Amino acid sequence: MEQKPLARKTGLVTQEMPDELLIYDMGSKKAHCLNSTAAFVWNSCDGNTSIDDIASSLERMTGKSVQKDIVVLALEELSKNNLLDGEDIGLPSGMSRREVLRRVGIAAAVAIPVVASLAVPSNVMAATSGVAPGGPCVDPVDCQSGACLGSPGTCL
Amino acid sequence: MLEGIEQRIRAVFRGNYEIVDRVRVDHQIELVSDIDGGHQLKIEGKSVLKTSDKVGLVDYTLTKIRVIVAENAENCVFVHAGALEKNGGALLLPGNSFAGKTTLTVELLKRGFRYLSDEYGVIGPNGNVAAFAKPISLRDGGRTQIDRTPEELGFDVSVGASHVGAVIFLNYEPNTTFYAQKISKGSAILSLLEHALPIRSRPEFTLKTLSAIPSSATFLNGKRGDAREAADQIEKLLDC
Repeated sequence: MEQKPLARKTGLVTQEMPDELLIYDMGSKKAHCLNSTAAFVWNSCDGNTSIDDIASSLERMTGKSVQKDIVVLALEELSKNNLLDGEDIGLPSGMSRREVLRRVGIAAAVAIPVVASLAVPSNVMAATSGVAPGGPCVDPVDCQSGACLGSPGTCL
Repeated sequence: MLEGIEQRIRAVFRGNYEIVDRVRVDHQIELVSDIDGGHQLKIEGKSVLKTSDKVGLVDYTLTKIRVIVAENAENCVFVHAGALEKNGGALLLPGNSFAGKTTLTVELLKRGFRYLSDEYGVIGPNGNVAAFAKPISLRDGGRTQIDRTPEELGFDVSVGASHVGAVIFLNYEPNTTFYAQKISKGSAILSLLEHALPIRSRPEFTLKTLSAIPSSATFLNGKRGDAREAADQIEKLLDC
């Protein structure tokens, strides 16, 4: 049966930017930055549109030739980052991402889809200007060095 | 107990606070002297730390106050970064402690940039950057830290910047030649999220506020060794 991917919408905060899309996953505490191709594919995943149709829409939007493999690459990236609902979407069986990239790389007229991700540390971890060495601490995150000897203890 | 702390709060918040008799309490921080001569810090009524080291407890309390302010500031996003201003634009140098942020900030101050903070870039809803001009925390070559006000060091302090002019991520590697390449605004904001204090508690507001950083800003990612060389290169790159 023809796959009609569906973008996950729950538990996500999105922010559109020119040519990019930022997504924050409130469950996994991961942030993602989708480039224009990945963002277009993600926005096209409404559960009613086939992969071929997404490729055609991308062609119309960019005015450039788009291989189906470009959309498959995007879907694989989105699926891997838990940004799609439903069954996982993978690369053609027996092919690695590198092989698919090589296949589309030379011919690709649009940007290769990229989903950059990072895990956001806890709030306190982000505030690393803590207590100077020798000062009191309860937890490693209290210390500038990130090391607390004992609890309560002393920052190393 | 309050005698030393008020002076130090004054130094950190530089007048951006008021002493009032009655106020709606959002967060309650108490310093209590125990009868056994010890001291303790309570946050929201819960004992957080007991110690006989009064000076250390004040340090610890100030750290907690800064984090509470940074996480809960209503109209701005605090990102952990060195922040400077020149010609109305802010330069943000995001990084964690021991990444050499303050060293590079000081080198840029010597080159005529004005001081916003060595700890937080405070980004407002319109992409403006407010000052958080706490004393500069200098290290003495080891892990000991000495705080000096920017004025004591002879540096100009800015009241704020109308916009972010540049965000530069630099990893410190000893003996490395400065290297930086342009990155997209999306990549820069993604990396900034790692240093943004309210991202977990207020993700929508954080993303919206950071996206107000103008696309015309310079976004760079790279590595640096010597801070003086890096400051020279940054000056050249920003053409100022």
